Amino acid sequence: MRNGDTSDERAEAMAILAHRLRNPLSVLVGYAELLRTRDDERTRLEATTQISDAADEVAFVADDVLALLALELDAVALHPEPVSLGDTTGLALERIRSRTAAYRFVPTPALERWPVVEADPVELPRTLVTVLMAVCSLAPEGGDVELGARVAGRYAELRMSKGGWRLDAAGVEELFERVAPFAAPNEDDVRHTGLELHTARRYVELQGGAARAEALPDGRVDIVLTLPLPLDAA
Amino acid sequence: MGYHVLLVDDDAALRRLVRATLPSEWYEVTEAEDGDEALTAIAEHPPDLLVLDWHMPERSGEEVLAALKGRNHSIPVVVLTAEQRLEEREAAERLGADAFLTKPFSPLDLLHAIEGLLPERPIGS
Repeated sequence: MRNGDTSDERAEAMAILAHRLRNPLSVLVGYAELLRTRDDERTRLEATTQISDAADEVAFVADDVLALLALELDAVALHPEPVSLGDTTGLALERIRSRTAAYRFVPTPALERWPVVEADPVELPRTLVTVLMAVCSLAPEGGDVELGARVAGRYAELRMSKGGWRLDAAGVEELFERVAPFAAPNEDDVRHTGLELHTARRYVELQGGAARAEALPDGRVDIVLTLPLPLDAA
Repeated sequence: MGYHVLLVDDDAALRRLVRATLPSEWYEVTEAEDGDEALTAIAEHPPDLLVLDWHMPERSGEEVLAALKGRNHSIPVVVLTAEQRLEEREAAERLGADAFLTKPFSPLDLLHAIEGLLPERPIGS
């Protein structure tokens, strides 16, 4: 969390994380018990998928805890290097594919034409996963997510655009500020509490970039990440 | 057809787990993902039993129970919650909840709770 955050906000963040653990733990415990007590193929197949997804969810929460802890302790060690933004975005899309089946991600131009940025090759994919999942969570009706990348001065700008958000304009403005749950039920299990975006923005900033959300007049919302270009490219 | 259970939870994975827990030959499970949807569903087709998540965005489980109490419904309710606080349990009981399970819960405990509230199997089961 950022300097100046109150202890109330910190406590709220911890409460959110603890709360988030309960549902995937219920799924893990529940399907384990169903596997123990039932012996049919349908249960086995469903349990396998659900246990895997729930384990991913627990891992996401663990990542959030570690990320918040590292930020709190000023113990974030990033190692920026030239990284293909297109390849990294492709990797992030692959990681969330099973959870975002109702969405179609449309990169323009094609990912292989996206610029190279100066970023930590470990943290950048995590950040993109977080932000892409947030886009899906907060615009939960499925459909196209437009992804655009361009060079603007010494920075690359990655823009993720989607309609159907469940936030009003004020909520959009606070998107990266809030440490509070969003009202965003989602039929594809993509969950979002607000902690992830808060943390993701901090990581982007630590790499010399910025993150913001823009509410557009047509009801669409753009999430924009800027990341520095490698020194020899800027 | 068996008993009609309305399952209200904003988490799709939880809904899937509960659906998998309840034998389809005994239970017809319908779903709502938030409190408003639940109240609409109850008004249109009152279920035999309600499985209700306590913490949901927008209209919470507590608000759903309060609304049902205002309508003098007598639907048995099993509350699911992520909290272990006694005050929450007391609030649920005050509003008419019949059983209370804390996440993570055993699906067999849920099944037993439901069977306890619907003691007789539907004809033909």
